[in-house]
Amino acid sequence: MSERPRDPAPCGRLGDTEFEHTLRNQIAIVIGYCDLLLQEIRQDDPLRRDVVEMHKAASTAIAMLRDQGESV
Amino acid sequence: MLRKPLLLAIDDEPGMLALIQRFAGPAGFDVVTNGSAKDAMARLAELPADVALVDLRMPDIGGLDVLRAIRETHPQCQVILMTAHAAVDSAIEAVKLGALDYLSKPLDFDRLKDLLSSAREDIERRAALLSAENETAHRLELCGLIGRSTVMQELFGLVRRIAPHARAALVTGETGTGKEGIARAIHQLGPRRQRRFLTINCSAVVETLFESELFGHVRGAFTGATEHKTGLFEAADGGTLFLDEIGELPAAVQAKLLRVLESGEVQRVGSLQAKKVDVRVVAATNRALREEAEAGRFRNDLYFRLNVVELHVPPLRERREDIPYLVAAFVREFAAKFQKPVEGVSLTAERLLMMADWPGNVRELKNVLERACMLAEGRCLTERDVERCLPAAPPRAASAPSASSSGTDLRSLERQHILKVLHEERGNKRAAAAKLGLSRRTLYRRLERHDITT
Repeated sequence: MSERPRDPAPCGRLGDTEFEHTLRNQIAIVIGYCDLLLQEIRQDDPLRRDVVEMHKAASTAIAMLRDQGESV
Repeated sequence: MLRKPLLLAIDDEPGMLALIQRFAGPAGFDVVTNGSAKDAMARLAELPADVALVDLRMPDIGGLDVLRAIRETHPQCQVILMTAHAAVDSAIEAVKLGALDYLSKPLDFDRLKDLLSSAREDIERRAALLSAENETAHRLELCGLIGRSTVMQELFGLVRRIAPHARAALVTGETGTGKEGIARAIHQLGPRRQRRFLTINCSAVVETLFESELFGHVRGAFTGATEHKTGLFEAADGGTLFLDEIGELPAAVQAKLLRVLESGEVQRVGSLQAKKVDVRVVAATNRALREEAEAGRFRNDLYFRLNVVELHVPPLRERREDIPYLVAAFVREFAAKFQKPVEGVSLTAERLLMMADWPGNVRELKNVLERACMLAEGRCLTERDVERCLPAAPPRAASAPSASSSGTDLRSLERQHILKVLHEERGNKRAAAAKLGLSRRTLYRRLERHDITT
């Protein structure tokens, strides 16, 4: 079973700087682990495709957050 | 064995800390993480971090304040800031405060890897520099003299070649360059190393006592000569006599010294008996002795007799690449002398020492580091520690008259001096006239005469 997060997620919504900051940090952690895994997993390992997908999705989320920040 | 460098990571996100640990551990670092900036700051003194990765935005204390505290406690520690919200103003502030870099999240691991490995190389380079057991350092030293620059290595080579043979040598170089050290090396590397090395500073002896100092006297030779006295030549028999500041030797003594060098015999003042001595003479001067001889102020024949081999010690500003090694050696010496835990200097302090003019050469550098070590409080001399011990920067030397400049006639010296004072007073003629001891009208006339337009 996976661990519970240490704190309840801060209540907030997009446009709230504190909330966005925390969210950005969390996604940065996901991307960071994906980067490390991609350096370690062999090119022909089928798991690699899964990690690439995770990386892609997290990067899109970060880009969306950035656009959101700029449009506010 | 060298210890692993210590990386301190401070971020309020535990996930980010775990990620950094996962990355930096295999990269060769011992990693200590802390989720609270406040707590990390309270423990800074006990954590000798080499590199710190600090989050810019944390709930209790901001990353810039942590950066300031680290610069204060561990000036040699390289700090990298991280942020999820890159902003130009905080980036500029971070660089101003001496941060190594400013990374945005998600972290670019390639860049972080480069930063960590360059920081590690720097730590290793400095550790090797500070290690007294460093083999290379000893191989490149000459009897304790430090000089890795090409000019110094050439000089050391010359010393090694002449030391077994030369009967006389002349060491030239500016004040504080280490002429006596070279003379000692000639003695140490020659066949006389077991015998005495005696020194006399020719500028510190009263003219009337020179002869007695060098050649000795017999009882009753002159008023006050109540005992027989052995002169330095006799005392140094079989060894080496170092005549420092030979340019200051009075003319009458120059003639007698020449005779001793030619005949190999000394005669005590008041005695008719000559005594054979076998002394190697190394003389040193900061003057241009050849020019002095040509101008008739120094005996030509004595100059040629001493100048069998001339060894020129270059000024420190012409061998700046030696400064880090000299600094490491002096810091080691003074840390031991004052029983301080000082291990080295910070990067910015080293830069400051590399850039200084050093008119007093190695001796001045040594004095500055002695003062800095005496006053130092931490493990590492900071820019501030060094700065307060450096003499105030003199006005730019370019406009100052120099003895070796081509125009040394009175008229051009006067012109140069007026220009120098005007420069020091930033063109203010009233102040310049006062400093020169002239009325303003006289100063204007001189400006006109020398064709100086301001």
